[in-house]
Amino acid sequence: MEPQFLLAKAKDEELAKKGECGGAVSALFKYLLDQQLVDGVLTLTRGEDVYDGIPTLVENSEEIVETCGSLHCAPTMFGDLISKHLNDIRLAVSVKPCDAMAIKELEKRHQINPDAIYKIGLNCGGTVMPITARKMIEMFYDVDPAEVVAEEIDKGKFIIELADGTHKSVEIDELEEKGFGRRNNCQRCELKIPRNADLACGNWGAEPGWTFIEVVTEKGKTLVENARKNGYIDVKTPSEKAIAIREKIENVMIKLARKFQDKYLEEDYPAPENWDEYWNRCIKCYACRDVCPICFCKECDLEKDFYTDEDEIAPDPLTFQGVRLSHMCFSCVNCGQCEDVCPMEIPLARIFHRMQKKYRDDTGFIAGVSEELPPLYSPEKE
Amino acid sequence: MLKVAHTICPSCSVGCGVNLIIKDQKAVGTYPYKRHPINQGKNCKKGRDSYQILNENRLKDPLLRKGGLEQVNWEYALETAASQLKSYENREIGIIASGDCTNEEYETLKKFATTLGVENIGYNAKNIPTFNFKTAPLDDVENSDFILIIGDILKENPLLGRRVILAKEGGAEIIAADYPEKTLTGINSDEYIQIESTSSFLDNINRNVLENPQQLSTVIISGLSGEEFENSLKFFQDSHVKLLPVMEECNSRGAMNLLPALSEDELKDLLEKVKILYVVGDDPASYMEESLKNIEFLITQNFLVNETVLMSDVVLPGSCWAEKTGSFTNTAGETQNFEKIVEPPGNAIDDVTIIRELAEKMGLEL
Amino acid sequence: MSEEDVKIVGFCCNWCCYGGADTAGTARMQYPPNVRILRVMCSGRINPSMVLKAFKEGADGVFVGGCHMGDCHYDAGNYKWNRRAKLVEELLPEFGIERERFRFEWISASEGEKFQETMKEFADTIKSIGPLKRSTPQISTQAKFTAKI
Ligand SMILES: Cc1cc2nc3c(=O)[nH]c(=O)nc-3n(C[C@H](O)[C@H](O)[C@H](O)COP(=O)(O)OP(=O)(O)OC[C@H]3O[C@@H](n4cnc5c(N)ncnc54)[C@H](O)[C@@H]3O)c2cc1C
Ligand code: SF4
Ligand code: SF4
Ligand code: SF4
Ligand code: SF4
Ligand code: FES
Repeated sequence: MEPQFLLAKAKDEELAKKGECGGAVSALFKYLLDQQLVDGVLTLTRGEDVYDGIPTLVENSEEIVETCGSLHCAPTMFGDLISKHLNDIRLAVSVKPCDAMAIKELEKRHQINPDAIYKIGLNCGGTVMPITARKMIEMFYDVDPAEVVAEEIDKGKFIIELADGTHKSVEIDELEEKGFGRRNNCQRCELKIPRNADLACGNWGAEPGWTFIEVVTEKGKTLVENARKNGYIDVKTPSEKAIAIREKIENVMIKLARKFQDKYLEEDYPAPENWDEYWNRCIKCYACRDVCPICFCKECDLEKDFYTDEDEIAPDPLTFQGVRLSHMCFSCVNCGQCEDVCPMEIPLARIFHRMQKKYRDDTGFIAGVSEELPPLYSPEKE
Repeated sequence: MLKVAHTICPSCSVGCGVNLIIKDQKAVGTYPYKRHPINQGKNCKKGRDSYQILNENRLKDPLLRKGGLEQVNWEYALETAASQLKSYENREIGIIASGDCTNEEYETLKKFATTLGVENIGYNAKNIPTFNFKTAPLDDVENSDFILIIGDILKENPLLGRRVILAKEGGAEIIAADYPEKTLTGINSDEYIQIESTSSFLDNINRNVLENPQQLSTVIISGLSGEEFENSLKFFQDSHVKLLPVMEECNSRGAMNLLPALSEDELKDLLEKVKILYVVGDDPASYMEESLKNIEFLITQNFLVNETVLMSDVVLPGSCWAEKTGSFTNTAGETQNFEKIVEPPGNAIDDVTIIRELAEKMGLEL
Repeated sequence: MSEEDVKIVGFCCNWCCYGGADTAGTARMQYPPNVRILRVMCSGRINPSMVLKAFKEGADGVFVGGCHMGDCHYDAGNYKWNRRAKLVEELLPEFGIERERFRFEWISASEGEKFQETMKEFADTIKSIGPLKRSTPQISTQAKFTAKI
């Protein structure tokens, strides 16, 4: 369908106030729960502080208000949480582009039922690891990280808000040059607006107090229309200028991501010797596989004796990550989870992302975005 | 229906944070806890599998030996345990705990023993004797310029191993020593020394390396016990280095702060001295079945069925870590609280409550 | 190990390439003894893990031979393999294994000569790059090893 742009705002005052922008996302969730169109809503709630995002299933619409707002220091993944534990209910979920990409791949593999899920996309400029965020706030902002009550990313700056209302900001470029800021995979991520979800919501192009929504699917369109008709949201049309601004920022972000891809996947890419050093550390804990939304097999080749040496100290990378790469690198959505959870600090997402990029260049298949399964799965004579 | 909740990993002494996934009141998996300062969402396999502990071999009801072990109600089980304990002299009573109870349980147990006047009490220290000095915090490991490791940290305590890797990436020099020909820690160090005994190894250490005041040096000791452990401590303690001994269980360090550490020999002595034994958490039957045979009456409190449970006269079903609120002290001495996430199964209850009720039945005031 | 002793694993499909090898054999066309042939029913049976495993077990080169496009006895097996082969080509260099160490070809049962030529060429290529040196923890350690004390 033709994309449709609009500005939306929660009619419920509390949602509008507590929401990151216009609280539209929360209002849509509330509508879906109230009308019993879904059994639950999967979102993030803030745990002990702004660096602690906890996946939460909300079943009572009264509780939606507690999930309002964006957490930029919570690099979570919803894909496998849904396919493993929530595929028996009708669900709505807030998704960053990488969540949406993972869900899309899982849908193609019949691990998530596309008819039972509303994907409310959030534009995403990137997420910061909680501990990295705390460290950098101490170092660059000269603030006790515990005193931060809110954070946001705007106009290339990472901005923090303190209890007394003061704001402090530092350029993300500067933070990232020094090895802080967004996760490496986020720096390389070029899907900034999740057009693989039903709606793509964000602040780019929005007026203060409103959420900018790009309506992507018919399902999304119906949802917004009905939520408006039922008095959950106010909707208006954004100006041509706002749409243009949004597009401009998106393009700048994509360019920047490509620059980082060149840096991390080509110029500064570890040489095979460096990789050998990394692989030497592997404790074969399977955390990378278990967290990967694309690795969903119930029976995994990596655990076969066939690939294991009795006296191995670290697994042979060829038949460990090599085999995993050969099974799914072409579908890697660069969500960074494998790298995030590796106890041995092996920069896994780099090799997987690099391989998916090569595959994409060869075949045109974009993991998490293309409608069809990777061509490698095709039975056709082509 | 679905809940993700913070807790502390019960599977080793590093003290990582881990999120449990609870579906319909049952632990079904773990989820990365990235906000946790110790492990940033990274867990080893043991840690990620820890949720299974909640679902396996659980004790659900109090049991009493009447020929075989039979289900009874709490009242009856506690009453029997209490009257048996009262029928013995204080010096005939023994109490042993394991290294994975909560600090609150150790405190309660200690009060219980003191009030009752029992001196034969301690925890199974897996032959790591009590020590009392300030150990290196985990952040110091990461910021070290030089690290000497005895044992295979990368493999056994991966999230401590990670700090070593980070130190190495920051330019630290890493030397590892251990018995096998090759270890994971060894192949990732600048130098690996295969040793035949710790004493000959210590004799050969160039002390100058340890005395350099310009650098932050850390020594990590793991996998050693008994005399070897004590000698190594002594050797390094009066040098300039920071020391980090790695304990066996998730709360061995907490136990050490509150109860006497019992070595295997000491445990054996204790078992031979007493006639009635109250075991909390530990499984002496698995390593000392013979000595247990002298015990006239055996009371066991645990959350799972183990060999000791099967030999017991009274069994008091306790709770697994995620079913109670409490704290663990990790190997670096950091105490971390955790909250109750799920209900214990069947009629099992919180361990502190069990100890308190037992005391009450005995007419003790804790 | 000398350059002459390089080991090459050749996966050949039963219906075409293996037939080609057979034809070469019957016609007494010599091909290098470095090549050890493994017969598989179809090139579509080969997956990248098998190639990886061959290299792990010490192969210096891996060859896969199937039927010409359109001739696969299972209809599309060689098309499927062809797509996987492309991935293998991209994957090997990531582990420090030169692309040239891996080759695949379509050879019919009657093409004894093509089989011989291909094997010769491939063996020459592998000999010229030499044995595969891999630095996995099993083979070498980066840590300096100090004598026992
Ligand atoms: C990490 C992150 C980066 C973003 N970057 C941009 C950007 O660069 N440009 C832009 O235009 N918009 C960005 N957004 C989107 C924007 O911040 C708002 O979320 C969006 O405009 C919706 O606003 P709202 O008031 O309608 O949402 P709300 O009503 O406040 O609802 C937001 C919903 O998102 C959920 N949520 C919060 N954090 C996360 C998370 N980390 N992962 C998944 N779900 C989460 C909340 O639980 C809540 O349900 C980002 C959002 C996130 C989470
Ligand atoms: S990978 Fe992309 S979508 Fe996911 S958190 Fe990072 S920037 Fe956002
Ligand atoms: S390989 Fe890593 S980055 Fe790629 S999808 Fe899996 S977890 Fe995400
Ligand atoms: S998470 Fe890291 S250490 Fe664990 S198996 Fe994967 S690569 Fe190896
Ligand atoms: S290192 Fe220890 S504390 Fe950390 S996850 Fe593994 S077993 Fe648990
Ligand atoms: S049968 Fe020869 S390739 Fe399929």
